[in-house]
Amino acid sequence: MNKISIKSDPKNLKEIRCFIRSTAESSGFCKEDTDAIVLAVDEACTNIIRHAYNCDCTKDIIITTQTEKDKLTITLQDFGEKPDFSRLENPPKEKLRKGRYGVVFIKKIMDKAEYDTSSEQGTVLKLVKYKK
Amino acid sequence: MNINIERQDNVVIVKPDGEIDLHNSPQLRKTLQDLTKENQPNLLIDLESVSYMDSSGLATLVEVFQSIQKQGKKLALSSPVDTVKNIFTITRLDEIFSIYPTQKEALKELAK
Repeated sequence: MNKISIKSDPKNLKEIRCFIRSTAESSGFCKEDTDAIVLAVDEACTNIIRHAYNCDCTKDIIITTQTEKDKLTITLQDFGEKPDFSRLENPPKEKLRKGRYGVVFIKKIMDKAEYDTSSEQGTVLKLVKYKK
Repeated sequence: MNINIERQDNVVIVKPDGEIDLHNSPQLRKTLQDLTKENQPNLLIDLESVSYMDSSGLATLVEVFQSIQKQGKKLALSSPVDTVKNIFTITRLDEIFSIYPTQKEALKELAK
């Protein structure tokens, strides 16, 4: 298991991508799946920065990765506002729109995306990708 | 992120270099907004040197596409790497944007 805590500054997204890329590669995912996992996690972190933290760059995002024989699990924890599930579960249908593609990427790429909002503060998002 | 701009005949060619995400997509957005405000001719965004793009980059391109369309001009994208091409495929925006494998082919189509 690997864990990093990183500030919610968009400048840090590159570091997050590097961390996830390295984890996915060492877990044995092919390039295509690694690229996809990197994108999904980047999108999840972007959503945390924009929506959970309203673009406040000083907050914490905790990312944990767990590699098993058949899958990679990535959890992202924030301590900000909880997601609006009506928006998450019903992305707009029109192709040409200026936003809300991030949720589409996460759902299409990851095999599981589970939001846990049971704690008093923030959300834990669990993403799972199975190896082929 | 470096953004190279050049003009060729009736086309402005914008070539960003690097990774486009929430951090630097505003820079690309501003550049494209300024270009479309000036009543520039057709626009080509060459993605050859873009190694990564996420939904914030995509939203930027959608915005400029809508702006260009309103002006009755053309927008083309060229030379995306596979990782970038895939995000257009996943969102089915490859059915809306004109995406060409090379700058040369894109320029040829824009000249029509």
